[in-house]
Amino acid sequence: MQTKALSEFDRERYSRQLRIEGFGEEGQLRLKGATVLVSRVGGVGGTAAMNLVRAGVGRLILAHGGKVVPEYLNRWQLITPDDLGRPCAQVWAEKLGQIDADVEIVTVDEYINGENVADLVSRADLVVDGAPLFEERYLMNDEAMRQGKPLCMGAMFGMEGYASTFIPGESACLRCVFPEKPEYWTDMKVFPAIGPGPAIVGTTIAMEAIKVLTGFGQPLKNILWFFDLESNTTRYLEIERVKDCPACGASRSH
Amino acid sequence: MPTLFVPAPFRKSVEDLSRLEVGAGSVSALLREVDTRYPGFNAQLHGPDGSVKKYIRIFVNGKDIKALDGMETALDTRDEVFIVSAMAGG
Ligand SMILES: [Zn+2]
Repeated sequence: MQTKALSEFDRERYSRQLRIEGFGEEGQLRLKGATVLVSRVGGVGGTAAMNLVRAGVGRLILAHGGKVVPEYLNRWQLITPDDLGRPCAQVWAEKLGQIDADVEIVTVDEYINGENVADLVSRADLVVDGAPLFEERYLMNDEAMRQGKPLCMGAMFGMEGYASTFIPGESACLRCVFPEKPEYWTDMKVFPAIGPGPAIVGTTIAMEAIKVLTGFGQPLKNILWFFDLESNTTRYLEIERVKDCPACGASRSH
Repeated sequence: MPTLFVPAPFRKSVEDLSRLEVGAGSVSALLREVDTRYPGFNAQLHGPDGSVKKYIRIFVNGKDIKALDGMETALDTRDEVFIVSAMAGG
């Protein structure tokens, strides 16, 4: 990762986080030199992207097909009715540019698919996944593990959500925990959602990405952090790497 | 009594409860007991071959039962059985 120097404005802008023990200027420069691939800019991915830009990540690749529709308005952090009908990735790039004009944003007006995943992952230091379909998530997981790129994963369903960080060669991956998708998860309309749920997940995985990129703090390695906002339950669930996992197992080389 | 946390996708079958108290000495006995109270509960968790579906994980006190004794993992009165179903909502 390349590093650039902090300007006087940067020093002021990030002054509160520069005071965080173990983060400091070195962490800030690492964020500035980092490229993060974000799969989908919805309630989870968009929240993560927003927090990453605010924290000072230098470059984001936003992959999201389709256009803004009314049902996104209840949970997508930065969109307004004026954005209806506009391409999601471009709208998000514009809003993030308002937060920080220096951030470099690459927009991809497509969802993750078999054709684009390898190239997109290869251009990033780390992946943040907030896609609403298991097909996209498995593609991303497998490719990130294959290319040795850390993946911060977060997902939700109704009032429930979870997050984990998958470090190739070090921790469990998505397929280690959930080798198959639920048969009832047929399309993205399957999950109910209200703003705070995906926002918590997105914020959590942004923090995870910041921790992994800067090396400070303890990422959720081999931990599935689960919450249920309906019953006020939260648990840190221990997950394990599966030796013969087709995505991250011993048969894969890193 | 051991408690069971039921995740949202399976709550309809247990009268929308997130938490049940179930007197049982093992995970399998606990699931059987829940199924007696709420017939059909178990069928949601298991595939046609009788094994737990691959998108469901069961934990006891935060540890995956695969790292313990599987469905025969013993339960004490204060133990918590936690079911999580895979989700992808974004
Ligand atoms: Zn794996």
